[in-house]
Amino acid sequence: MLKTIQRQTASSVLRPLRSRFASPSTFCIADRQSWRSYSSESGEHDVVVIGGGPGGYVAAIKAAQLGLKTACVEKRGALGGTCLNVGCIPSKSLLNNSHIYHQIKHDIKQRGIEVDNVRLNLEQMMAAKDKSVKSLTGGIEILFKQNGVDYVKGTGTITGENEVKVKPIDGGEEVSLKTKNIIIATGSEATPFPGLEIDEKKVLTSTGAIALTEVPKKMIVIGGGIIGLEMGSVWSRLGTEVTVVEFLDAIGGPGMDADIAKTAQRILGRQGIKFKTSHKVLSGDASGEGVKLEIESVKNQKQETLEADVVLVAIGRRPYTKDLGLENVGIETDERGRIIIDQEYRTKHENIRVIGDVTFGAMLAHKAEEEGIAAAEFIKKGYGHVNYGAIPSVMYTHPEAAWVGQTEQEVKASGKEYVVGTFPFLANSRAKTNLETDGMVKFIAEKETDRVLGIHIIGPNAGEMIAEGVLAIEYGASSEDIARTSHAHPTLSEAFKEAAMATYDKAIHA
Amino acid sequence: MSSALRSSKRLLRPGYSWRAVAARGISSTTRDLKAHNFNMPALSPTMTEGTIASWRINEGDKFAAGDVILEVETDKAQMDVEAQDDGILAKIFVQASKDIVQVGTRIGVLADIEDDISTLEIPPESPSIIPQESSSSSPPPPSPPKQESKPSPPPEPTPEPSNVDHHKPRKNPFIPTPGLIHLLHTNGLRMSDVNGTGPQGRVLKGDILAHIGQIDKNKPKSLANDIAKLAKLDLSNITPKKASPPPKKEEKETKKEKKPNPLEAIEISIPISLAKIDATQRPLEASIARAVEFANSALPPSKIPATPAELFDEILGLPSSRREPKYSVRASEYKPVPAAPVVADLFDEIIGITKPKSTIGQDPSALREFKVKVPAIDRDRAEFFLAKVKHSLEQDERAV
Ligand SMILES: Cc1cc2nc3c(=O)[nH]c(=O)nc-3n(C[C@H](O)[C@H](O)[C@H](O)COP(=O)(O)OP(=O)(O)OC[C@H]3O[C@@H](n4cnc5c(N)ncnc54)[C@H](O)[C@@H]3O)c2cc1C
Repeated sequence: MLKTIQRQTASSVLRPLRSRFASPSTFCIADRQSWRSYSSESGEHDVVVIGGGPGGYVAAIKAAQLGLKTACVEKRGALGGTCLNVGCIPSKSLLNNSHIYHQIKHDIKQRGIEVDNVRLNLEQMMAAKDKSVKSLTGGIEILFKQNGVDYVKGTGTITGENEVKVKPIDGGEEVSLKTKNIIIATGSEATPFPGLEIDEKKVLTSTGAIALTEVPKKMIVIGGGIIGLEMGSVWSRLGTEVTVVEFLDAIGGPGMDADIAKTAQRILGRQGIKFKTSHKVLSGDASGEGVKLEIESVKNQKQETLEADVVLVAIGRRPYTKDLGLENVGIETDERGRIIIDQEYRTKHENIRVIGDVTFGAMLAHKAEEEGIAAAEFIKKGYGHVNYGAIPSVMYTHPEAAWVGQTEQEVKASGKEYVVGTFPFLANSRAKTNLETDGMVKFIAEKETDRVLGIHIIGPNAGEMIAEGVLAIEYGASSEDIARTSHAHPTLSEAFKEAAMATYDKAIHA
Repeated sequence: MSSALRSSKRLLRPGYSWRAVAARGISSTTRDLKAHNFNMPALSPTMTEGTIASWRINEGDKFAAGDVILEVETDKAQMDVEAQDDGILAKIFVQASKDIVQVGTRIGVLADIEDDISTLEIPPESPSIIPQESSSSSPPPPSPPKQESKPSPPPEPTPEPSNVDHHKPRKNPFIPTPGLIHLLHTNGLRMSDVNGTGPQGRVLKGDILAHIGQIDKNKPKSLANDIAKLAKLDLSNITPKKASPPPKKEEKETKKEKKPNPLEAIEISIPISLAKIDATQRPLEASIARAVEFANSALPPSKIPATPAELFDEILGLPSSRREPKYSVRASEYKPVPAAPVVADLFDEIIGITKPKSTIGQDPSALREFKVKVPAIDRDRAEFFLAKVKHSLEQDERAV
């Protein structure tokens, strides 16, 4: 009979009762000692995590904090995965700094500031980005040390249910790690476009697009999703003529509410980005000096040729399982390469779990992190939890777009009756004061109960503002709950409150 | 279900739930207590109750990390509960018996190994974190009698003991959210009058509206159930990579032969290729949602007979209160059947499409069976609906 071992009792060493001001690290140490009995003979690990991205490194740290003997295998030579090395962090560094450059050039004159001779030093902008990346990835290495995670630099291959072989990146001898549990967190890679060979010089993925050494004259972005629009924005601000080719009739991808997508396209268009929505790329040719693309309208089949210096392929990302050795243990993927799991992230082998981009769900760093914590807790405590209904998404263009919960299209399709309340930043005092009035806040609430189903923002600082929306959804708030909560004046967050008022009643300032 | 999951999460991490208690300010003395309540643990995410098969140690006994303290039995299994740390079993509140004990009910008190249990202060029972709807087989009350005033609402899972005298027993331990205060006051209600359907049993605005009869009584619960579904990772419709669909003809459709009762629910299905959507790398679920929305947008009127109320409106010349039914689809693995689907032609004719009408998925692995349940009388309408969904997903990029 199944023997469930309930390791947590009321006298858990995690409880901060005895020393009221115990620091978190005190808990870890105490916990660690209490766990010794479980950590078995020396040499064997309780958990080996493959992949050191946001999913993997968080899982490793959490597992170690829970007292499990943990190793993390990473082949990149740096921790932090896609996100810290070539994704979230470098792209946000470039977005922030290119925005400042653009603002100084085009915006601050109306504010009474005149600067002559503004020039771009791209090399320095890239150096600033690299510095941020280095300090953050280095920081994780320190966290590993502090928490006692063994950091194994190399390519990990699963060779058995309880074994991971690691080929060190420095070419040394292969090592074998014996382990009770394995967490796979090998992430994703850019999906290539058939017929266009990626060289990261002329034909780029996002990895090349964050590392160009000069500002191209013309850039074509294939795919109007978040990554394409963010990278397109960076180079457009630095002077590139950017054209985005999108297969669907709206940008942002289907996760984005249609109203927000429309507004985003209008604002970005005004900033100078050209859009070819409802167009598909038929073929590409990068053999000449630049790149040529044949595109076709999906509406009237009209074809045209676009030319540019560089093309960014941003049509999505696919799970990455190269060299992972799934076949050695018979773990299956689905048609799109996602590793098949159950609700507790287990594969067909109970002790092998999978988290992050390499499996199902949104490809977001914070989603991978939540799963990393939950996976470690499942191993140690038999229970973990992620609320997939309350995971925010943010597009860091200017202005930002951010949302949580369901889109109006999804709510409609589910057959629910609903109410929409919106409030434009144009009517918000702080936005007006800041001369940044683009965008709006949009609420969707169930009609009868007023329970909030989705919140969608496009506007200055939307990415920070959405946190309030995530809390609202977590707590099952009604729009009235938010509308009756005081928001400081004058702040952008008043637009959030007014949109909530407009949902259950009426806004004051609109 | 999801609230049960959440509560068991808390239960499995008593250290944290204690902190939460302190933070809520239930009792400032709680922090300094030497002993800790030991509640009925959730030994699986779905466990909500169980029986205590036996205590392996006696009241007053010391135990070491790894010792089995008690055995718990559920309808599924008998499980040992092990100590993670050394300690003393200071008190047993629920003896081994056949009685069902709800998860979260206090069954004992544990003390630290150095504690002197003769002078130990027994902590009050912690406030419930169990969802309201669990009708508990009442846990043995600590000492005070329960002060249940009304018979109708479900019993309170864990009443607070009277030694925390400034707190009256409350059914709902949550304070009203900003949006509730008005409603409570204007309707002369207290939080304790209302059952909560929110996360962890919180009372939401909809619960009060349902309580006062302003909206359908069942609405908040059904909405909560829908939202709970979204909280889970969507692992439906997974198709393993190399799955070679075994062409077995199963218990396929004898329904078509029978002449069904016009309002009896029937299921209609067609194969739809997702090859195109896949090629765009977009989330499948959202694409399908858009296609369904589009397909629902312009359907012929339903043949379901109007209700008396609707007829009445019509007679009075009022704007029709009738809402045309909207459909939702279920997709599953496609199992080829001999009969070729004809619905595609129907739609093509209507909108004048001359494109190849066969399913574009020459790749059979991209085919899914899309099903919709309708009253038999609306079969044509549903077929038209499915044809529109198919068209959107296979041909018309705008709709996806
Ligand atoms: C340009 C860009 C911008 C982005 N911006 C954002 C953003 O703003 N916000 C956001 O939430 N998300 C963003 N993302 C997405 C985010 O980067 C991913 O969701 C996140 O990195 C996923 O984490 P992960 O741990 O699952 O995988 P990854 O971060 O991909 O990490 C996997 C790691 O595993 C390693 N690995 C793979 N196989 C092996 C092996 N066999 N042995 C050893 N190591 C192996 C890889 O080297 C890699 O370092 C962005 C992505 C890109 C490309």
